[in-house]
Amino acid sequence: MPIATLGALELTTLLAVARLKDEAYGLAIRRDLAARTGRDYSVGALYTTLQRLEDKGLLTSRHSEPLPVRGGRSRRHFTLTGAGARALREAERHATSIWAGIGKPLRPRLA
Amino acid sequence: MPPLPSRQPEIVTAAKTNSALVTDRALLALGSDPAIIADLLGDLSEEYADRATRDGICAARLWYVSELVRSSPHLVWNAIRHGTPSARARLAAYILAVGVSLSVLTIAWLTRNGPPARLVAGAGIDSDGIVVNNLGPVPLSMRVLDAAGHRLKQTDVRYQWVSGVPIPVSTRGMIKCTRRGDAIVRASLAALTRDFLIHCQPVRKIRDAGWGNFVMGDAARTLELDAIGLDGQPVTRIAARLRVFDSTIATLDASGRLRPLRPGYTSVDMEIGDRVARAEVMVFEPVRTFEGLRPDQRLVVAPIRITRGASICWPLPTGVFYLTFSADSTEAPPTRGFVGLGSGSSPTVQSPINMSVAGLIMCTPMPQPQPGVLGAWCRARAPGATLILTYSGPGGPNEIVGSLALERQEQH
Repeated sequence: MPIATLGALELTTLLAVARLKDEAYGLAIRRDLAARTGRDYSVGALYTTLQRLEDKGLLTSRHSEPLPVRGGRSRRHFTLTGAGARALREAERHATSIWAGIGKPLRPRLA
Repeated sequence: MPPLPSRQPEIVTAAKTNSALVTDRALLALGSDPAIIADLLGDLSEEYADRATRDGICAARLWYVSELVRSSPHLVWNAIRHGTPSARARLAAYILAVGVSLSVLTIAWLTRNGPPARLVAGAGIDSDGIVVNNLGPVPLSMRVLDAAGHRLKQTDVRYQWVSGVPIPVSTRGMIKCTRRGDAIVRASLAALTRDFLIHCQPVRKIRDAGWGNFVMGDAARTLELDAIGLDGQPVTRIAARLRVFDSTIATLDASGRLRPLRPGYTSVDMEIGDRVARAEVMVFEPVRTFEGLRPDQRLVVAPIRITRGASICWPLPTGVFYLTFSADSTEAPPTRGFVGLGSGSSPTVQSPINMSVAGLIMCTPMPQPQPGVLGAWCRARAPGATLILTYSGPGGPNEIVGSLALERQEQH
């Protein structure tokens, strides 16, 4: 099965889901992304990305019990699938590969 | 640290729930995936509660609305990608309705009229006033504009004569120029007032609207005419309404000058005050010789340069045509007409330029239209006809420069 290509937001979202494990639901993922990237993604942007990742088979989701703090709505928890994990590993390998040989030139030179 | 009021989270949750019901319906109406909308609203509600506790209700509401607005494009895109055909159609209708509404509102806002701000003169305006060439009563053409320059339909502008040459002015703005001179007329609309300088230059008749001859490539120029006032003197300020009959031959520019476009005939109707005149216009094509003219080359002109004592032999086409010689300078004009007759060489001598024809051609001299211009109607029955120009008269310059124009008649 071919490994899906990931966009930048898709990759960071997948990483956030992987990092948050059982606590990976929309609000928590958005906060994690904001803390790590410094960017405040809109809820709409995040959920359309999550849906896209689910459509690609990289994530799966399940609903919690309804919560009063969410206006009686449940939380939707996301979990990395096997394909998602492979996509992350492939992305890491790809990044390592394209960064190979670069390092020293990018280090700041001492005057 | 004092404990937070125990009811606050409940109040926040209740308020948020009511508003969420409304937004829930609105977002579902977009056609987005209901599951995504439920998740999105759940997240917003949860964070709203946090923010309301931390930043206050107002800041939290502001954040909530801004987050909904930021998310809308993503939800619309989601509806386009994942919606059912009916949801997509509904979304298209919403987008169209919003687009049309915004366009209508924008257009209405941009074109809205404000209160009257300016009075400006309409037709007949000169550099420093309004020129009136009419003999009879004429309404002052005044426009009422708002601050943005939009024209307003205002009929209650009042007028009165202030100073200058005494002319009757009605309160509705009808004036009658009974004599030549300038007058000041005041236009008023509520608190707006403006004085206008009226140049009364009534035109009794138009003389010599005449002809306007152009050569292709000529610069645009005004047509000459002779407008006569009530006192029999020429009228110097004219506000003319011009209309060119065939604008493919010549066209009028913004300042009323005529610019030739292609060879041919046209006319210009001139409306000056109550008078109307028509000027005939011909646009000639410049050529070096009359040899080898195509049938469609009916109006042509060639430059002529002739020195004292010299003769020029100029080939002529066959057919019927009007031939005109005009000197550029009137320093030594050919003061009388020419021309030869009949078959063979039959010169008719005139001074200082002699013009004659040779060959199977017959010409009838026409009255001199103006100094320096000679003309004749000719019929050349066979090829080989020529015009012979000789400059032999006493006095005048050593060389005469001019042009020879040919106006060919259609052959039936």
